[in-house]
Amino acid sequence: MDQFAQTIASGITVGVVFALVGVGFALIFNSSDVINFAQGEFVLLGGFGYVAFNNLTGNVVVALLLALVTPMLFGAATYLGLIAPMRRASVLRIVMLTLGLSVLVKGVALVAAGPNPYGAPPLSGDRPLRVLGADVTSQSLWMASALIVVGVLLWAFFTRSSVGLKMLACAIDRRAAALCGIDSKKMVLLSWMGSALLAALAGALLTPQANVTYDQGFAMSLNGFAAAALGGVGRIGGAILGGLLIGFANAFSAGYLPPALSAYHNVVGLVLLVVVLMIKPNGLFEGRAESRHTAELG
Amino acid sequence: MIRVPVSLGNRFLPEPRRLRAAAALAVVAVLALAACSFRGSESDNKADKCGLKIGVLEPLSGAAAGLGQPVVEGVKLAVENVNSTGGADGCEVTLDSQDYKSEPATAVTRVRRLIDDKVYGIIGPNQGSATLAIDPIIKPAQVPICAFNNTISITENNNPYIFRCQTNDEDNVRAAILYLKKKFDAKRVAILHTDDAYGSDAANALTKVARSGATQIEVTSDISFPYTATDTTSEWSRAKASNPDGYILWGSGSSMAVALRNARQVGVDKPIVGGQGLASAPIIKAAGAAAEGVYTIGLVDPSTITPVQQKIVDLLKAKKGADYQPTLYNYIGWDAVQLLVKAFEKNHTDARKGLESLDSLSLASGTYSFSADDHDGLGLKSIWINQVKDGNFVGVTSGLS
Repeated sequence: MDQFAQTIASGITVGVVFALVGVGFALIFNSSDVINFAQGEFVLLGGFGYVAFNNLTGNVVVALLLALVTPMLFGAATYLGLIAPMRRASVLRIVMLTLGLSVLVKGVALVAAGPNPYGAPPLSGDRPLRVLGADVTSQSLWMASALIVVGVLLWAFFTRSSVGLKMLACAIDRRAAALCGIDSKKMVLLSWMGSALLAALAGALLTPQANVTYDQGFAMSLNGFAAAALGGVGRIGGAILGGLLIGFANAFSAGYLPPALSAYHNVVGLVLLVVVLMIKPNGLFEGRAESRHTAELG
Repeated sequence: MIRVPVSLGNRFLPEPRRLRAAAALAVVAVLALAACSFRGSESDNKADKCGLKIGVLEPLSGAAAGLGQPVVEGVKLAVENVNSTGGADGCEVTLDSQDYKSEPATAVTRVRRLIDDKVYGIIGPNQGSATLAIDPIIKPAQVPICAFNNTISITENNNPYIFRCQTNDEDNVRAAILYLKKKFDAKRVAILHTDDAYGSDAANALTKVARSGATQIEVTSDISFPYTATDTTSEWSRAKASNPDGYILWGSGSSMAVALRNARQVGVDKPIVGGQGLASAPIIKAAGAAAEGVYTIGLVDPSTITPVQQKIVDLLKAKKGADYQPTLYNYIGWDAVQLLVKAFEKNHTDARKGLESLDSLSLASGTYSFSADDHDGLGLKSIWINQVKDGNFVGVTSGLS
């Protein structure tokens, strides 16, 4: 029983990060059809920011808040400086650009921070807690809570707020939204900032649990993308569920696969993705296929 | 107004083309003279007659730069020291250093450059993957390397030009088991390792050592996790459920700090012995309190210092400033130069034969022996078991057998 509970806890801890990164993928894809492969680097910036601001201020809450602001500004700068000027380029070229950006951020992080891992104190207490038979850190609980809060806030944002509804309108049909007077460029900018914010939140919360290293970004991008694709690209709820499913798949295969197969548990999440996409090509929640509007990006 | 002629007429001056030819001739003449005089001085000076050119193939940039840079510092220091004390058998030692950027593919191009430069032997690489990549190149070129890898497979390809200037992971794993047996009377061990070559090799070695029967140890579980793992609690609880008397943790990089934290999180209360990849100050620092009490495999006891190590530390501090913190990698770099110098003293032309004739050479990081049949420089007896106490490594025991 303990091992089962521990496996569930492990799945949630890992899945929360994938889910937050996956939601970031969905936000940007919704607004501009672009798969942003630099998404994992926003996680990195959140993690490094948390370490740096904690060293500067000595206060974990202040460090967390500041760690969210910097990547958000970086997300805005990325959109305004790199993506917006390329508005006539094909999606493929923009995706390549995000891949290039990811390599650049990784390289700069290596030069600036070196190859070693950096840790930081958790938001509250270091002592593990016993929850339903599993030993979990308080940080894991913060991570799970953060995902619930983010989920609720995003639901409220997209159903109750005017900006959220405008973004949704842009996602469904950019041209029709523009005809209704919605500034689609602003909406895309907001989606880049929001997506960076969520990834940075994942990075900052993960750092006390798993440290931050310069080369962490790509694995985050890969698993976050898998989460988004599993749920149905563009579906925010789908990305959350997709992230958790991949987290569980990894944890359960680590905990229960026969020893001879244990080396394969790393790929179980991705195998799950392939199987789901073979059965449901648009993901579990049928990704958006209403409108593709790259030519009018920005 | 009187016009002063500025030209005496072109026909009395050499044409520009002729001028250039004359200048070129003059340069050739000067160079030829210089070459003659250089040759003359060479014949007068015995030290210039011979030379020992050592190639260095280390990662000075990229992910493994943190390992390569201190090695090269140790190498440079050792070369300066050898030259200031009469050279290698009276010959000046020179270095030809190449950065392979932590990339095996770059190691291949850089090792070719070293071979073209006709180096006597090569110090490095630092990563097993790079050593395996250059394996097919150094064999036909007949240039030996002094590789700093624990990866067992590097000396399994029957390449007589690969010399290991480190311990191999089979001995490292054996040391971990012997210590668990001796100190904790362990009969059952579980291994957790990263799923890269470094971790998997160690797990295979453990199975091999356990199966050999000599250690009378049972492996209760063999569990791998990704190099990029962010949570290993599921793996730890599985290992814990197999009820071992001790754990062996093998891997490198950030996931090691994660694993140490997770072990404490799930309440692992049996001893943990980690490989050399765990014996890294940044990992221990990142793991914080969770690293306390953990045992690691090492080549030296970091809490005491031998006279040779003291000499290296003094020289490094004199050069780099009093704040410089020497590492094991400084020592192994220094030792690699000593090995090649001693090999050169034994055989000026054939570095392989020179190295194979070295026996029981006590240096900064252990006692090295090579032979035609055994290219593993450091054996089981050179291994130290250290323990993390107050965030630092403290020597516990060595010379296990």
